[in-house]
Amino acid sequence: MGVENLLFPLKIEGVAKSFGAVKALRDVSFEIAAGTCVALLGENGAGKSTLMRVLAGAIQPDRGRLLANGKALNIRNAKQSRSLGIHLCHQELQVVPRMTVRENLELGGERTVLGFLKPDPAMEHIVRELESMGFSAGMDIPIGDLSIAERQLVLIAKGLSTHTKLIILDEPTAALAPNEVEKVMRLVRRLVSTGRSVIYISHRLDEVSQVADRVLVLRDGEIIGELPPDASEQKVVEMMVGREISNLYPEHADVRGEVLLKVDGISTKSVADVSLEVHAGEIVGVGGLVGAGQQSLAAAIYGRQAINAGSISIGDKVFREHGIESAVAAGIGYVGEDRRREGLAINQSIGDNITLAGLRTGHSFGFLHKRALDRAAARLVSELRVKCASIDQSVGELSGGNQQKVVLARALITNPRILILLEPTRGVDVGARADIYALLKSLTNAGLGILLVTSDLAELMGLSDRILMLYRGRVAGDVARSAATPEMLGAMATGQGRH
Amino acid sequence: MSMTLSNAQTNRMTVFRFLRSYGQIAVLVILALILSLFTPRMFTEVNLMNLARQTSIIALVAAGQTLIILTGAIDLSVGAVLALCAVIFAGLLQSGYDLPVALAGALFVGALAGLVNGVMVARFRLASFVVTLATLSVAKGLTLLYTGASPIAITSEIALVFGQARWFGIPAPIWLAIGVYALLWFVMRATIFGRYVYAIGGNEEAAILAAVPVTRYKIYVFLLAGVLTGFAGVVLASRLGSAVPTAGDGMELVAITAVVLGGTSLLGGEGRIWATIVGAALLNLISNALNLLNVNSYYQAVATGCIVAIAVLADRYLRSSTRK
Repeated sequence: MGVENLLFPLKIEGVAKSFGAVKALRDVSFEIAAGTCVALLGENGAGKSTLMRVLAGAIQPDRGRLLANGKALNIRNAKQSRSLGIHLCHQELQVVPRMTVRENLELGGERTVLGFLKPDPAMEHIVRELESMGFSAGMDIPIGDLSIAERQLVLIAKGLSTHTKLIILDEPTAALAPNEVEKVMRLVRRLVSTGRSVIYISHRLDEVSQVADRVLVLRDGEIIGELPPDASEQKVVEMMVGREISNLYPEHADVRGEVLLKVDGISTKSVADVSLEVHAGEIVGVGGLVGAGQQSLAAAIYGRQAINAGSISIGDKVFREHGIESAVAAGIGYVGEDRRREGLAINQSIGDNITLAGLRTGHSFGFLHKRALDRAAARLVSELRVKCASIDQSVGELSGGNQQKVVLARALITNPRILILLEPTRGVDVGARADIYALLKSLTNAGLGILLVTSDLAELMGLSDRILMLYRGRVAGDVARSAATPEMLGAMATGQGRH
Repeated sequence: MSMTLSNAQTNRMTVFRFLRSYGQIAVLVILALILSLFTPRMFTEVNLMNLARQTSIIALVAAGQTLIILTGAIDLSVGAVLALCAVIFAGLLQSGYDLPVALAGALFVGALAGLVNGVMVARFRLASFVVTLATLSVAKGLTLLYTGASPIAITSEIALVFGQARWFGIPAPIWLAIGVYALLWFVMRATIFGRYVYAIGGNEEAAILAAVPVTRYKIYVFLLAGVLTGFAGVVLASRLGSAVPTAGDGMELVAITAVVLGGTSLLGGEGRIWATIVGAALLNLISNALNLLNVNSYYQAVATGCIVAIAVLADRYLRSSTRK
């Protein structure tokens, strides 16, 4: 088609952008041809999102220019970017939950006659494409009723509208389970095969090797190199981080101690008859498809969700019903899965965020032991290698990985014996991930027991001493790490494994 | 990101941070100063005392409002509750009760209103806007029922102490407001109560997960705000020498304006208690200056609204231009 030639080859030339003293982009140049998928890798803070915002017209570069088929582009706002056929899919799904799928797809690009809405024929095309991918929910239900994965697919499918030429996907699979990731991969291939181009941002290297034609690595605001899509993980990670990481997942030492947590046949509104034990010094991983009951299990142990049957023993205390306060008092620390929604007060300081959980013991007659609390926070900040100016810095100014470390620090300030972690490295770059893994290792060495809920299969297999797979709220398998294979866990997660 | 900054850069960042934190107040102070320059009788002792005394009652009401807004809620009932407490105070005195009983009665009614608001919002998870709107209506009705819509005069000399006494030459309401703010400033800084208030407003879900007793502390906040409102009612009645049933009309909006001008975020979790008293003072100062300039009171309302909008706009601009 001749239309594509208006945008491609799209050339990004010497783009630089600073925010105050911080150089987000130094000098970025690359080229995108029609019908290709370019993967962009880099740690959080490397400049990926700034670059994407330049392309989407959300910010203006300080230097450099964009050339579409040799002609200089001047993208001053989101509308211009859109009219050029650039479609940005944000990491945080931006949907209006109460509006229908169709209304969400049309949002911002509604067709009107004298202000009255009229049907958009491009929508029918998207609907057909979605249906061919097995999407059957229909266009006229509220998008909030769809699963996260389905919403993600719908938003990516928006890129299939005839007008769109370049689709930018910012970690499209961060919240998805393995079988759902496959659907996204298929959709991306479909986009590319129809002559559109894709910029694919992800932390998951196996996905990149599946879909990308080229892999660019961004570090400190510069493109520092290009790799073949099948480059080894080791090589990619080292290029991203700029230092050698010998092994992402730490070595295991077999130091299983006494039972710290015993869950005995509990049932909640979304799990049934689940039993497990966490010993001192071990990590028990819990996996399964999205919604298989992992969150509910963790919430029940932490006293956030009612238990209908069964009991939970923490140390020598047995609970049939309990609340968060008693769980904390019994020695449980908890890190929720969504750090922005349930983890951090984003406008408040690092110190205030960390010490929050420590306040109940950090006061006399209501008066805070401010100095002791600050000291404890500062100690955790340095132990966890949180990159910050001081504990008075606002937590919102930190990168995702450092924010996650702050949430972890808060869970640790109460000196828990058992740590429940939900998706502890979601949206966290690989450098911070290595730090977090090393921290978990040193915690288990010190005798903590960890219950790890993760949808990242590699992480589940890399960290856990034992793995519990859930399927529709029930335990589908409980295996030692040495016996686990990806195929076996996959089968358990989809209910085909042994029971 | 850790990096070494030159002195100049550090200085610039300090200035930026200051503007970001206090931009609104800075803008207001400048506006007020300009206005004062054109107002010859502004800086006389009589006028300034008068100004401070007016401010102190608004400030007492706005103190409780600040705490509520810091938790992410809002209280529309303060004006009506203030009037109810004032008439209860005067009514008890008129029925021959002693000052301590009358004072306790007024504070109790304020506390009760706050408790009802707090339980509805925190325990039953209703929207504070709606709950306090209902309380406003109930309190207003009770006030009119109790008084038959006519003011109740305070005849007891000693009961006028809160509003009319002078200590070291300065009117009592000013001392009382300063005392309350000093106490709250300390409480918000140094006690677990203060930290929990900020935590709840900053991210309620995170606070729940950190085992903060969120429901209880939200109720405390409304309770405390109710007591402060009751106290403001007592001071107002004592100053006027009578409890007027309509004295609190519209006061909720003035209080909220003072809080917002102080830079406290309506989303909760961000703001400073002392800034509210500055906000209240500047708001009064502007209307006082317009008064002295003989500006028609209808124009005054328009001008005040515009000044508030300008201050908030300027603050937004300063914040966005200093971000990152």
